[in-house]
Amino acid sequence: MMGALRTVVQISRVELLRFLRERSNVFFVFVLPLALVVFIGLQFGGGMGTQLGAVAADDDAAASELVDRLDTAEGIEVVPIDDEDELRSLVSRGNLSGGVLIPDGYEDALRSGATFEIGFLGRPDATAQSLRTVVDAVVADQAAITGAASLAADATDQSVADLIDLAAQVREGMPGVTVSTEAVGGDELAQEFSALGQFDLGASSQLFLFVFLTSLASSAALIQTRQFGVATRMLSTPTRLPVILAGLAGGRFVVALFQALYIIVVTALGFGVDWGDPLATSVLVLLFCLVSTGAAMVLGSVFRNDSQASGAGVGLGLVLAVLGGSMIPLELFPAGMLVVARFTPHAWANTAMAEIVRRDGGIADVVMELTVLAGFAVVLLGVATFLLRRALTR
Amino acid sequence: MLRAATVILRKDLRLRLRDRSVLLFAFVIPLALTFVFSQLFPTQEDFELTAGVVDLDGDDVAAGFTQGVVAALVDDGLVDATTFEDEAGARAAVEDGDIAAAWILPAGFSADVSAGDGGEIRVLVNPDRALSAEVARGIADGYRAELDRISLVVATSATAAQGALSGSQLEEIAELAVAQAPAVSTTELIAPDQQLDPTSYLAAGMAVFFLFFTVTFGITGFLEERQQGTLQRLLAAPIGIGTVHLGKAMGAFVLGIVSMTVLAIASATMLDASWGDPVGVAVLIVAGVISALGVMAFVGSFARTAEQAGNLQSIVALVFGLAGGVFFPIGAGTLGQLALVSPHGWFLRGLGDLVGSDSWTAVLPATAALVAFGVVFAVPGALRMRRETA
Repeated sequence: MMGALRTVVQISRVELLRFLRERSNVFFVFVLPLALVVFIGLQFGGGMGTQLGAVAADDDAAASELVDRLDTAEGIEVVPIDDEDELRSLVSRGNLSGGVLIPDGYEDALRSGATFEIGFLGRPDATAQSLRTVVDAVVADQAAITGAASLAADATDQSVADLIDLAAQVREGMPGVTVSTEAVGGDELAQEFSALGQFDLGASSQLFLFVFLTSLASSAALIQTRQFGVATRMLSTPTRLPVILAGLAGGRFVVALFQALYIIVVTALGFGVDWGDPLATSVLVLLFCLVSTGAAMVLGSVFRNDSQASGAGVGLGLVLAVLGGSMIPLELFPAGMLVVARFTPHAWANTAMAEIVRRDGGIADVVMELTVLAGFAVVLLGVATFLLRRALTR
Repeated sequence: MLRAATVILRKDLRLRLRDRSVLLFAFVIPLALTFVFSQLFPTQEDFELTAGVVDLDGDDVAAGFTQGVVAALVDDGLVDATTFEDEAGARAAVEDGDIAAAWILPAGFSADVSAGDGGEIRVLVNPDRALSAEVARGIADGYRAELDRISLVVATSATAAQGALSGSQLEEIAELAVAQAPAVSTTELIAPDQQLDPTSYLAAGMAVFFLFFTVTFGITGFLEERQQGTLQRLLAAPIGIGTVHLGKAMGAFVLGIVSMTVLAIASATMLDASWGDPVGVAVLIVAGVISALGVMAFVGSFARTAEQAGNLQSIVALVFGLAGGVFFPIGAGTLGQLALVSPHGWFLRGLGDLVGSDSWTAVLPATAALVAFGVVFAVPGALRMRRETA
């Protein structure tokens, strides 16, 4: 028994060494995950704000005030842009979600009660639509003073310019209607996101993306083991088939675990990412590594050559990661896609991770997710064993 | 020379088609990823807010919202509204996810607003539906701004007249205020069809991302021949090394063009994407394939085996792809400048410029940049490869 275990460990060790000897794997395992965590952290970390470009004359006080008001509106970050052409191309290229163009003479128009038009540029997507409603409301708020002054001027035969300051004073003292928002059901997204560190969001969802991707990449080495006849030579020794299979699975598992530990340790130490309850996170990560191992073994037994396997591996790894909420948080998924997401191990792992990290959940809070992941692992490893046994012995 | 190169090209293409991995990279994966991503980002047309309305007030100001604002949005197809008798029903519906949000107009709302005592519109949102939540809040806030505007008109008039206006006169002014055209309005400066919609952006991004993997097969093919010893046999024939390179490059070029063209057409017919004017798109595709070939030939010249080349090229393709914003557009700040050092970024930029302009010539700056990328990398790449084989 001990001998068999030693053989399993030995085979796993060789598989790991072969994987690490390929220098480009080192890049995929060590550099790319961190680069992405930093990249996504920098891009989405700043409060997930929607970027709105603004072209406004510096010397126009009213225009500057409008820009400030837009900037303080919830969910909007204003980016100053020099001129209309630049704004147009940034919006049409998708660098900005939208833009406003405040022509010269805004302050004068507001003072005199003349009508005025502000240009809005939006991407043809639903985000721009909600952006437009926000911009409209902010603009209307600012213009309300002018509108009030001009109607009051008509009614009382006074000049608009005189009444502007009065209207502004009146507004200061008005209680005004309020809009309050209350989150009901679901996860309390807004609070959770604000409680997360800049890199937490990127790190925890990327963890599963990379563990899975790296495992699938290691299926190429499994194919070489078959192609080079290493596996058949092992079979000719007194080592029994189950031991060899366990060793090959062990190799994949070690690669997956290694990847996971690396990301967790470096992001925890380097960026202060919080990984929650150690026990719950460990069990979750171990189970997910088993799932990845199973998937890699299936790929490694189905395909004949390594370029096919790496193609399918990258494709599957990315598609499942996107579907499972590792690139865009599950909270932002439309309802129909959430159903689809449930078929990926990533979605279950991400949900569990969210529970553990954001709500300080323990292992008892994620029993369901862990059970499902265990189910994924059992099925995938079972199928892989069957396929690999057939591939090696026929 | 050309005949020999063509023979190599034909043989390579046949070989690649037999090995299905190129089909995966060139067609299947990009389309699948585009499809999945596009399902996650609703476009303007298919976005609809399902919301509940609870009118506990029942008076005119509340009706202005329920029968005015909301009814108009329902007519526009932006909102699917359901009326609830009480808050508990709406709350349960939001919680269960039957509706994404609910507006509650509390009892006494109209009276509070008319008396200038404020008043509150409450919005219940399901945080799992972030966009719907934002839109629901935006709609309520729009009505809030409108009410505040009217109150301000009345209050300002009353203050300016110093008590000289009667109640009925103030009511008249309020009616004028309702009808008053806003002093400042916003107009749409850019038509939706002047921009790449999200699906087209994604489709093009994925296509150019995987283009860099597709052309790789030409270069790894060369290294494979060297490893398998077939290259020596080719060179033993009266064929120059340049001819072999030409054949391989032509193979990669053809694969790249075919892949991009198929993806452009397939994403247009299957996913309703539109890359813009066909002439401009064609020019950009050719330039994009040239840049991919040049960059990948250069990277491949550092590899000894096909596997090494494949891996190195994946790294470069990933880094350029991310910097160029193929997965999500990069913001406008400093990070945005990153896109300028990536051929992927230039390709997407070219498409954006093309859709925003009337003429295909809008792609010329991006085309020039792409070709420059190709040439700048291809020349040292070719020199290195020549030295390696010699």
